[in-house]
Amino acid sequence: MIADVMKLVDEQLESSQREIADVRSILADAVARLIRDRCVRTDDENAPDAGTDTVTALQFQDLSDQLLAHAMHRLDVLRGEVRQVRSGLLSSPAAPATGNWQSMAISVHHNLRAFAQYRKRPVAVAHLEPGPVELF
Amino acid sequence: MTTTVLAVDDSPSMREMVAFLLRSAGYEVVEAGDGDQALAVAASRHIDVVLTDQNMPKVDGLSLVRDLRAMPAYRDTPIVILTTEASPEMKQKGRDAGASAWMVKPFDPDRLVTLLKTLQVMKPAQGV
Repeated sequence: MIADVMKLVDEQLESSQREIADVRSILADAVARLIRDRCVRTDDENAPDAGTDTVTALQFQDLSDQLLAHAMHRLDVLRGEVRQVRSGLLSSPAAPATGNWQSMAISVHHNLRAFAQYRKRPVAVAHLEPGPVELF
Repeated sequence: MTTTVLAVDDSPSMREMVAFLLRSAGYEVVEAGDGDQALAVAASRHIDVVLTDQNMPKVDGLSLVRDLRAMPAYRDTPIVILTTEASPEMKQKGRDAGASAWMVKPFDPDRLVTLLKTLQVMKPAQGV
């Protein structure tokens, strides 16, 4: 039963990854279209300048993409742990002994703690105000 | 004489937009997708200013700065790190590596061009 639950959890995580990949793709496509549009407008001297808006949009996509890639990686790590637990459950036909449960929990705990410690959030900002400039 | 900027970023769309902006401002731009490519470009031709992202595969921005500073031709070349990283620790690493400036994304296009002009003016005269 618990192995089935783990399978369902893994499937949901996989679906979330697919949706995130779709969002990344949509954002990248939107920005590619904006850049093409910007280039066309630049060729037309009578067209209004869309430069700043395009750059803002592009940077929004760049920051979002980094965060989404990071979220994908988190899900990847979670799926790895879920699969490991499921595989452990399936390999013992009877209910695992308490000691096995405990060592499994310790392993998952250790891996997730280590991941949280070393995989820092890649983008600190959550807005599009221009960042500071520092001359050395 | 046209100023040549080496724009280094692993994101093709960001690289394309930075290149487009700088070309519109009158710069010649050559592009590289990571630090390794950037070093190869820098070794093969003259570059006036380097504008690099920090987080990239293979050679990251800080390593690129160190490697460029080790090349006699790039000892005084302005190098800007353009990144989402904004912590004082990372900036200090940039300073220690030999970067000329640190600009946090998202950036204002006009400020980027102004920064490049400022760095060009501040650059020590060559051949003196």
